[in-house]
Amino acid sequence: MLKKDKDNVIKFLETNLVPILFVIIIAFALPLSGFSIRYLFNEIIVRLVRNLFLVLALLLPIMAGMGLNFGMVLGAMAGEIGLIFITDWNITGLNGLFLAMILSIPLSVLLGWMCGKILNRAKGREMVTSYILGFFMNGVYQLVVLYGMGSIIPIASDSIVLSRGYGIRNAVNLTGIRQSLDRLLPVKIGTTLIPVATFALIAILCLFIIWFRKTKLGHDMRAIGQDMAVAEASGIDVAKTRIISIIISTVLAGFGMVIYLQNIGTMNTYNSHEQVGMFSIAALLVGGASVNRAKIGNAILGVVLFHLMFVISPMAGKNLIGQAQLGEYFRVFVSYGVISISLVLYAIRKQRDRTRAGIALADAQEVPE
Amino acid sequence: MTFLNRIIEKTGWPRLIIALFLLSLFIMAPFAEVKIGTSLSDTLIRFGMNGIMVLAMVPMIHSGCGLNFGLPLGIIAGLLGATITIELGATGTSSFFIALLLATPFALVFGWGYGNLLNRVKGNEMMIATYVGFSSVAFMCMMWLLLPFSSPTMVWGYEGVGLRTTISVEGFYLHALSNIFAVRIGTFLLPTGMLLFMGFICFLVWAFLHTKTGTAMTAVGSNPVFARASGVNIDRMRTISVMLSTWLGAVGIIVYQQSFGFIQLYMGPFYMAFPAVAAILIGGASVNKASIMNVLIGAFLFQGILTMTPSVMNSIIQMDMSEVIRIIVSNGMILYALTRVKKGAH
Amino acid sequence: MSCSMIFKEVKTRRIIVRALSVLFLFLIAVMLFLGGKGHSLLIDNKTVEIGGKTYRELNVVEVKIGRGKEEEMLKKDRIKIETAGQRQVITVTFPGDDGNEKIIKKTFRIKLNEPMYLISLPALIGDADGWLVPFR
Repeated sequence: MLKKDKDNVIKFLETNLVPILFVIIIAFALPLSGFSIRYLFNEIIVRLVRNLFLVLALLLPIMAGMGLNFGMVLGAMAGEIGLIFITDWNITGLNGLFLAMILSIPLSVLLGWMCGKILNRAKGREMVTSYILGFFMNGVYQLVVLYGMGSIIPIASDSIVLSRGYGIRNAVNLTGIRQSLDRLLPVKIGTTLIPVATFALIAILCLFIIWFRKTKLGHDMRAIGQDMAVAEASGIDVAKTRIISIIISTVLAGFGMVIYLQNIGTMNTYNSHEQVGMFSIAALLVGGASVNRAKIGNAILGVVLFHLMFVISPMAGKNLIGQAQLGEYFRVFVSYGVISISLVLYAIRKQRDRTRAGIALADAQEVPE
Repeated sequence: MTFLNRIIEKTGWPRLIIALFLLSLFIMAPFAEVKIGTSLSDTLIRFGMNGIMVLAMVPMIHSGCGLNFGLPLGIIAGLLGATITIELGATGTSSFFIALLLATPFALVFGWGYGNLLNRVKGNEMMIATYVGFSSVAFMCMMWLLLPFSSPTMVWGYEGVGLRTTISVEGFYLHALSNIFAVRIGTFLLPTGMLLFMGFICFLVWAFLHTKTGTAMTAVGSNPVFARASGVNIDRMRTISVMLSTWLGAVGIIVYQQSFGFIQLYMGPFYMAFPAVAAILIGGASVNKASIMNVLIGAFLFQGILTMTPSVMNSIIQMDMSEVIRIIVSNGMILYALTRVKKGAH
Repeated sequence: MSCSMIFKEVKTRRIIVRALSVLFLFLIAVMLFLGGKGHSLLIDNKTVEIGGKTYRELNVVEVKIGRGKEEEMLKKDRIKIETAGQRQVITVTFPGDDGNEKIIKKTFRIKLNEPMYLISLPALIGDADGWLVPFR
């Protein structure tokens, strides 16, 4: 009995190494930063609202065995293009927000389909490929938005176009839809404003994910995630299902980006989506998810822990060493380090399982004398 | 006709398109009032600057570790060598070689650790390489602030704590190589010294690959079963390849700096692996096969495009699309290589 | 024969469902577009002359658009109110000749492609024709 308990504890520590590490770092840095609980609570609520939808978009590809979908950046770009159009047409309020989401759908489906097809051609290297694909599409995005818009694609509003006559400006003011979802059903706890409507939307997404897992498509994806060969043998169209998982993820990423930007209120046309992919993935991993297993709880915990660390690092660095810059570099380092550790743990575990399976297979094949 | 088809199949469409694109840029140059002399020498200079970092890809491709996205680790070793050289106050041409000397132990140690890590994660090398590279750059960002450097040319003015983001190598080894045997014909400047040095290093690598260890390394990548059967320690070979690759990265960045004129710290090395990866892929390499020829062709084509596009296209189209083209070309090339199914995959 | 017919049924059903969802989304998009398109309304409290008749400005008047904020305007004032959608309601409250408060409520439509309109309060109160004109 005791050995089993000890095994369980070790297993718990192993699977949750990253979040535990994070809690330790935060416990250490929090008092150093000097922020009040009320301020941090406010910040956490804001960041949950902003980022949770995006992080949840990553769950489906992990379920389907595609690993970390760095290609969610493509969905983010689709969302941004939707926002550019509604800003140009001057659609305000919730109408603008939902219209931007609807506009992003066809683009997200197209990009997600393309991404899925490319990933199917790079089986075994999905993560690197989706990572590079993100960079590549960034180039295409710039081609369209910095050169195409205003010249080939008609943009009526002059305020968002660069002075040279074509290309969208670096910062687009989303004053029309700013906080429109957040302020729809405001509830105040103390001095903190809680955007109930946005949380409701996020809750709907969670329900959708839970429901989806139970559908046939969801079951298929889980089967592929566990063992592609077995799934293929059971008659599942592996290639098509994988593409569908990426498409859904990309569409959700598009919606998430719209929610993210309506909270901030301004869109950095060329930079907003870059970090979004990396931070969402880092947050998910911090919440205890791994490359092949992720739950909703991971997403929520991850966003809280990751962004908490993000907020307190600069001040903690300043109070510790005297340079806020150190804290800022520290949080960049931690973000990348977290992804590195998770990737390494996943790869080691996979290799160990493979060796174990190989040994088991060899044992089973031993011919008795 | 089938001969042409065979060439197309062997080179692959993206490479053909890129080569033709570069050729057309050179042809258009005189019409865009761009001097071919300057363009050619600019291309050659950038070719020499980046060539060794592209070469750094070769050992790891040979040993089956894939494309070395973790090149920043080697670059950091080089940066450490460079900064310590300046801290010690060495100047002149010899400072270049001192920097190389100082960078080497760092490169070997980093490479050894990095190689061992990659051995534990066979099959996922490229993704982990990328993030190990990023994490180490971010880590060094903190270190550059904290390490006890004191040389006035390198440290922030007022407080005197922490290194500056960009450090000039003027007075140290600026153009140390390029100026050796430099040839000038009108507007055309040939950085003979740098090219000779690069050629020398390429030769060293080529020779190494033909030694017993080198061939063992290649065997590990192309036919691991045969290698193990011949008694080769696969993990050891892989680690050696990573160490060599990291060292080449260190050498490469120092050569780059002597031509560029500056040491770029902090986030400088962050994305530096990608152009090198793209270049060797453009030159004909794949994820598991690379030759020195690939390095030379690829570096030349890639740098040629980077040099010619801004000048030529700006004059003709009146639009500066060079940055966007660079992103699309380099990442598109890497994508193409990643999606090619290898024949006889294990 | 019957097997392939059943198969076709499922396939056509799928296509119909997908086409209907796309149509549904498109209709919602159009509705969002029409209802959300922003317009600026410039409201004037100035003496104007339309068709020969003069409409005097008021000393003080309150105006609101839809369910928005009540804005108080004095003589010669001009205010700008942002609104969305094509169907608008303007409520004007002012002291009448007999000393009592008079409220006029008018519903009007504005065009999609005109971003800004000019409303003259005196003309509206005097029931003139040109109280609402696009502002160029």
